[in-house]
Amino acid sequence: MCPMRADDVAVTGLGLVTAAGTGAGEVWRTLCAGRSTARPDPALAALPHTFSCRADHFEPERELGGRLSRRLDRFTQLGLSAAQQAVLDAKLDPGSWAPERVGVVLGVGSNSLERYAPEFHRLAVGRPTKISPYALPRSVPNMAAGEVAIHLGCRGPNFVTSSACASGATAIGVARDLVRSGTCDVVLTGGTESGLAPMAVAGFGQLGVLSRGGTANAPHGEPSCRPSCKPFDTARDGFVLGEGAAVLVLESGAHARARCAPVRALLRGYGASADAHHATAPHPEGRGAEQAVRSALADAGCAPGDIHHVNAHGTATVVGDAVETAVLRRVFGEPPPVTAAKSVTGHVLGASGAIEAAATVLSLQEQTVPPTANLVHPDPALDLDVVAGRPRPVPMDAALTSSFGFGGQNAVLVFTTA
Amino acid sequence: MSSVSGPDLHERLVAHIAEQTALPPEELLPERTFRELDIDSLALVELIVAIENDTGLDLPPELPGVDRDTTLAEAARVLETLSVTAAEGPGEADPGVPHARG
Repeated sequence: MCPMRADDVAVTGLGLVTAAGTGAGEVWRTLCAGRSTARPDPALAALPHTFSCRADHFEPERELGGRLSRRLDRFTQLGLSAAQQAVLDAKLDPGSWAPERVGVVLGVGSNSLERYAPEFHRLAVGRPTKISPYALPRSVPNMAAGEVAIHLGCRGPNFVTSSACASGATAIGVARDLVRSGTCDVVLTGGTESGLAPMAVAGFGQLGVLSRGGTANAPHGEPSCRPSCKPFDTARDGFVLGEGAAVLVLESGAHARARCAPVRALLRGYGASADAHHATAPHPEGRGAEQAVRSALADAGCAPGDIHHVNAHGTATVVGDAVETAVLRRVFGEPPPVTAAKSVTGHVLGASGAIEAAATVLSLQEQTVPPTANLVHPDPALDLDVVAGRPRPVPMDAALTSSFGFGGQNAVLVFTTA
Repeated sequence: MSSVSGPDLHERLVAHIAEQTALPPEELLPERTFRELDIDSLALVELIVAIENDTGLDLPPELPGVDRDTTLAEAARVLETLSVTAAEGPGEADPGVPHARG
């Protein structure tokens, strides 16, 4: 059991908008159903990879109003909506907090390319003065955090973190430090991304990391399968891109107690590292990943045996899952039950670490590990207890979630029950 | 070469403001000012660029005599005047440019 500490940081609210649903309750139900949200995407019909996990049910005009939603690109709409939801969930009243002590730190992996195509075209045909003056402000990553501050009146530290697919976890770790240091009472933190513009999808396709489906890697001449993220499966062939946002309300224990806030979980540990190895490939021995896991455990004051569940990075690339398995086995010996949420939500890039942090918090609250979708033939070479088929009740005090980004940027979080 | 006429420009101005603000076109009366519609200076530049891309007009980045306190009717008249002088300019609309969100 990890010892309690005076500077523990409470998770008092969750906001989620993903292809798996809106709000903690709906997302949890989809995760527990183990249902992949990957579908053919008409906007990608001309590309080699035509599947995505789009948050189709999200209606920005209804959530944010027509005028605001038209000015914002999708990643900011998603992030703002998740932040509003998280504040409501935490029963926080933006009118009563000390605004200069409320920060916003969101992870965003890359510049939005959603509406750049016509603007680049104008540049290419020699008409630079016909480019929208909004092209830049609606696309740059920092706007997600900026718009949250504008609409919720948070006047404390405000920025985004960018560590590729670890951005959301990095944001939560850095936000935790802002609370722990006493700089902020409250930080709205998480991640948001909509990497579904054709240029983004084509780019990931060219890196060879997107699932193609089909029979190429399926054992026993299995019938053709649709593209899907199949973490830890023999037939795994990469991921499907998704979109979404998750925002956690992090709050100092003192602030949460003073207002009798509902506490979903405690954020106990954060570990970050760099592979210092390669632009897109993980270090072959998972050097940076292991260092981040061990740092997070040390920061939490937890021994490996204190961790009862791991929410894995699990992108379903052949090499990534193998390296992650090796790291977990080295750190934990016999690792606790594992799940990989990207099989359900798709890979939401800069938001995925935050979505998985939210899922980890919910696992602790529900004492349940949701199943990994699409896991039909567990790879015998990957010796892990990956939960599949149905949710598994697991008594747990502490759980760990890991995110490993391109560029070898790693962030790991440890949560415990409230 | 521009082919837009006076009444057309007023309609297009209103259509672009409706698109930008999500306000119903019937609320965009000729006597309303940009300030009343909460259109700030950046939104005004966006509007001018959108009209240029739509019509092929080549307009100056700031329309002479148009600011946030200009009415829509006055702005449409400025656009009409400029469309006559800009008609021989090199402007062209943006055919084939994908406007839809990715």
